[in-house]
Amino acid sequence: MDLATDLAATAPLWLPMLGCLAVLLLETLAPGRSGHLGALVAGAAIALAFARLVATAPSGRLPFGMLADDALGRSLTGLLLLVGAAVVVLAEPLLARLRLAHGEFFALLLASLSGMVLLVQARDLMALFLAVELLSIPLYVLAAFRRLSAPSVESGFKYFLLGAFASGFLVYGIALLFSTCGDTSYAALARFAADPARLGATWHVGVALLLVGLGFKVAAAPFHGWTPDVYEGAPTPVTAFMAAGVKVAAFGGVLRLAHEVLPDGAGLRAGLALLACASMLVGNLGALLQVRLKRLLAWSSIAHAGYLLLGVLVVVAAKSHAGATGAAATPLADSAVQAVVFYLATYALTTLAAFGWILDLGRESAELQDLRALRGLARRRPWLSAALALCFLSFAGVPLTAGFLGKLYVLKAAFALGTELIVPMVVLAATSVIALGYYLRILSTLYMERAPDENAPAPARLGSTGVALLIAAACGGVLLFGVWPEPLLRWLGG
Amino acid sequence: MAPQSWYLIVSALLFGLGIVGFVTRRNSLVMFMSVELMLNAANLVFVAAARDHVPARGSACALFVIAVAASEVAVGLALVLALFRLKKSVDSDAVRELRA
Amino acid sequence: MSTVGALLLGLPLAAATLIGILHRRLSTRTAGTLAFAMAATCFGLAVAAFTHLRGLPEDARHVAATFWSFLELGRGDAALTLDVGVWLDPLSVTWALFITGVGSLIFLYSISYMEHEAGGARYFACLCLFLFSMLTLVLGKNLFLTFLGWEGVGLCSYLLIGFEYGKETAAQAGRKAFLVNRIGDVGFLLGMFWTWKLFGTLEHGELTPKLAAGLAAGIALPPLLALCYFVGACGKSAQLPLFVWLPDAMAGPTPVSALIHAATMVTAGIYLLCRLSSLFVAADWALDVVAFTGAATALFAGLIALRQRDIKRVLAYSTVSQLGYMFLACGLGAFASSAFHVVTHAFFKALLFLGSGAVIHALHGEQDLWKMGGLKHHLPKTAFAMRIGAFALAGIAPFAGFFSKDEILGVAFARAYAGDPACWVLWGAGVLTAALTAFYSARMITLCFDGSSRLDAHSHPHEAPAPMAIPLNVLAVLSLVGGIGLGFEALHWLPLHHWLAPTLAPLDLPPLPGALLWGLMTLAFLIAVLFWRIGAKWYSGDCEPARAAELTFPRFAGALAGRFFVDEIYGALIVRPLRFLAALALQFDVRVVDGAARGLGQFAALVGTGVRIVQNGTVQRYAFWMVAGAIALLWLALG
Repeated sequence: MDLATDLAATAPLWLPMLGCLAVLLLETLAPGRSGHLGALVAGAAIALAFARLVATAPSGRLPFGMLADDALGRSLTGLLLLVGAAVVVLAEPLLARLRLAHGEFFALLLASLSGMVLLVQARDLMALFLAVELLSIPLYVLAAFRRLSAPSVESGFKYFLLGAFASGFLVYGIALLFSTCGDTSYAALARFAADPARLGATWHVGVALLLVGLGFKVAAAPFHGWTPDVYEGAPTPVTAFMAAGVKVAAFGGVLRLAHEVLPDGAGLRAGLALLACASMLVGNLGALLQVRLKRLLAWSSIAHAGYLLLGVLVVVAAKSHAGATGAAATPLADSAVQAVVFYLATYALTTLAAFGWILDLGRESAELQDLRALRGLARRRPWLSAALALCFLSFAGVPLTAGFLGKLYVLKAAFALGTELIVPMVVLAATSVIALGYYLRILSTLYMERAPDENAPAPARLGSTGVALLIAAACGGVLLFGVWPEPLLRWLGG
Repeated sequence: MAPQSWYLIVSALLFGLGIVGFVTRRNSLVMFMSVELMLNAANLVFVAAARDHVPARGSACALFVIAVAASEVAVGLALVLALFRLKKSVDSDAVRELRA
Repeated sequence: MSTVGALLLGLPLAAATLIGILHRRLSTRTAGTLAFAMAATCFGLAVAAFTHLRGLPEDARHVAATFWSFLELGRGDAALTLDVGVWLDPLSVTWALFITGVGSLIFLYSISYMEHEAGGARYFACLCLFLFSMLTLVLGKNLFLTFLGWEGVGLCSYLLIGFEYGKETAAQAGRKAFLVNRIGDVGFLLGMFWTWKLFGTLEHGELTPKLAAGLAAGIALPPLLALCYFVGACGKSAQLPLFVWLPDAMAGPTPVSALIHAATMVTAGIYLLCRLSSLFVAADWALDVVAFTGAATALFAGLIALRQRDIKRVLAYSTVSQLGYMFLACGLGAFASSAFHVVTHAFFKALLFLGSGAVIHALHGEQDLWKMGGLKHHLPKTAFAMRIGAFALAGIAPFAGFFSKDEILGVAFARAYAGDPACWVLWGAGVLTAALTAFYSARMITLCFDGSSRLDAHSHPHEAPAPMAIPLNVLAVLSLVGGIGLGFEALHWLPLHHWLAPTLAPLDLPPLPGALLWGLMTLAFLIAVLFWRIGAKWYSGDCEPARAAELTFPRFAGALAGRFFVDEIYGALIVRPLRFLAALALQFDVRVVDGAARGLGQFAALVGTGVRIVQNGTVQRYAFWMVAGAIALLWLALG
């Protein structure tokens, strides 16, 4: 093992960490004055990491014997770095306005970001565990970052307690897998699982517990309880980070596990199908009557976890399809992985736009989150309204938006397996109809209803050029990739 | 020497105890202690399994878990403290403003 | 030709974008003129495409143009490639011709109609977007583009129905239309995936020959596949039980009703059936479902139309009923006859809607038939045009609707004659509907234009301005000659059928003997005239059915049993049952169909409440569910 090569290959992983240390150092040298500088350092660290990522080609090696340097890891890392950069843009003006301009925010953000990057590159269960903790622990603090605001502290507290509970399951699952296989590396686990006769109860229980732990992170039902509460209470940039970043990272981890380790089996299929269907149903039904915007997005994120889990299920099920043996990848599984990655990218893009929107219109305080405050907004803020409408159309999967193609690819991958996965597919179709109910309600609130007071001044905006540009760019992406997905597909395909 | 399944049974009991504790107790400190029970159930499995496989690996895993648990405690206690400042209580149902 | 195809899609999109961006700065007139110029150009382009195809040999009448590749996913067997491009063949060009033709007339009409409405430019932007979507639906070179257009027209319909923000009914109607259509869309989507799985392609250029070859070789296809598309078509073309949205959609501006909810968008379902005609024919009993649904819808909507007060609602139910005829024709395998009726219907229904728009315009928004009457003195030109449209709708020769409707009834009769007893039912339903159609058309015209005025004393109706009158006149001419010009079966004059033949599944039915054809035509004509006269008499004057009956058939009535007796017979045998059936049909619509839709919504809302009660804010509750989930996973993993 050549340390220098390994370090070079993992630059996107340790550069944010280095940035984190730099911000902390700044904070020690100039206490309380590192706000803007912190954002700059964070942005620079992410930009450097991104540049390193783009400049080099994946080597296919295993840096440090625990990580992956392949196309999947790279594309997801790139996505995560973009999300991280977007959150820096979102957080900076809010911190300044709330006089929370602490460098710590960006240090925590960078630490969590490197945890996310680690998670999508991990090829060892211990690395997976470390990654989950490294991304979660800073997030607990970030959620409670406004430590004098009761909702913020409540959200951090709940996220922490339930998150710790979930990691208990995760660790115990890893321990069981270790006890039956004697190793924690994915390669060894895959070799072990290649012979179905060896997979005893310990293995199955271990995998199930692993799913509990990761299911919590991706906000799949019935491990979703924290999601609406935490999304609502946390500062909006942090919520955006959770919704876009954690989702991408955790699904990256799940995807790699499903692709490289987990053998197809009735129990696993049933378990994943259960989580997928439960998430789609619970998420969409929960959102149906929701009147607060951030909570609505939380419920919808649960539903999207269900759609994505269907993609993961296809990855697993495709393994025993078309004469493939053991855990070896098939073109079908590959296309399912691609579909999930594309879905994640479109979801992250749309989510960033939506939370950027909430931030921009000053929906930070609870009373302004009520949807009724948006009545007739289209007349007074036509561009912003169009942006939000576009986000929700994309969430709903209306054609010509990126969200449609994401859903289409996942469905298409599932369809390639014939009728094996018919139940979750039907649930997807049915819940998509339910989802339209609340997505359209927002559209009609914006466009069809009248504001109670027509003469009241239009709601004030945050006035940050960065946030406005971010919303515009994300919406542009949603539209562009909805009609012309090739560039995104090529980039994500490696 | 006791067979491995014995260790597994003991660890499963510990794990179950942790779950029951977490779900039934309201005091957030006790809840967090229950999580520690779950983590240590895992440690027991790691160490017991290490005997049959590569000993160093299992012990290393256990060490990792202990280290991570320690950092979780640090953050967790800080959060509980922040909560106590606002609510004068450490009960998990003292905060129920975010719901429905 | 690929330039023509690109322009046909590009021009409406460009116009929509331009007007959409500048909609605050453009006046209604400027925006409307721009939109009209675009639509007229598109019509010219469609004509160019038509002449080009005419110049080609019959079996090579198609042109494919690819602009760029939209989707490429997977490799090997799992590969899916979809191009953005156009597919010009007789079927798509026929639709494009009447969409752009009738469309430009309605654009022209809208300029005056919308002049005094707020947000006229926005209206035209939506209209251009609609034209773009509709042309994408029809000309798209694969099923996927057709689906995109399908969604697009749905969205535009939604936007245009709810055009007047303030009107709560309009907003509700828009939502209803959108939701009902989504049910249909699920069917379309599933069908599309299934097709792709079976045939490995969604391109019309590859799919149509494959389907036709499969049909010729006698390969059966799963009926469920056809039914998936059928559900989609039912949603868009307002068939039982998904028709509920269409009458409500009349809350939108009247030109929108004419263009989208009568002439073009609602025929998208027929287009889909025609496009996949070989698939439907090969799919066993699927066509029977289509035929019976069509016949039931035609009859059902015809009954409801008898008792509507709102002039636009009469027309809306009549549209549903006529669409039922078209489905019936498809279900009988006579896809060309269906397309024929689509075209003639586009002429006369657009005419009727635009005419009713002129009436409503003249009466400052009044839509209640019982508050009209005697308008032929105030609006002679409109009355004349409307009368032609109504004759065409009623199926009175030689107006357009007669020929196409008679052909459909002829096919039903021929099927029954050839030994399919179930087709007697279909034929009977068709004939009964024809009678009803004549009756309610006459009722509408009589209540609106004839008799004494029931207007407000203060209203002074005036004839519509020229931009509104010109489309009416053109459509009136088309409603007059459009039928006989395109097809007259008994004389073997069937240009439209020959033109469409290469793209449709052939009709496997021996032609009826000439004498029988003439006989059926005479019967249909007599029924139409008879019921027109009954309708006209019943509702003229003070609308006393007894007097109406007496005046219509003095000899007939006298010969039977005198005035009262006829009245009684009509009352007991026709009026009461009809009224009862009409009331029943209406109740069915209100109670069962609407109720089911509402019930589903309430159920979902209930479950939603349940989910939120679980979300009570305590960590224990959440942890409990996590544990429950973990136990379920363990159970599944070990079981």
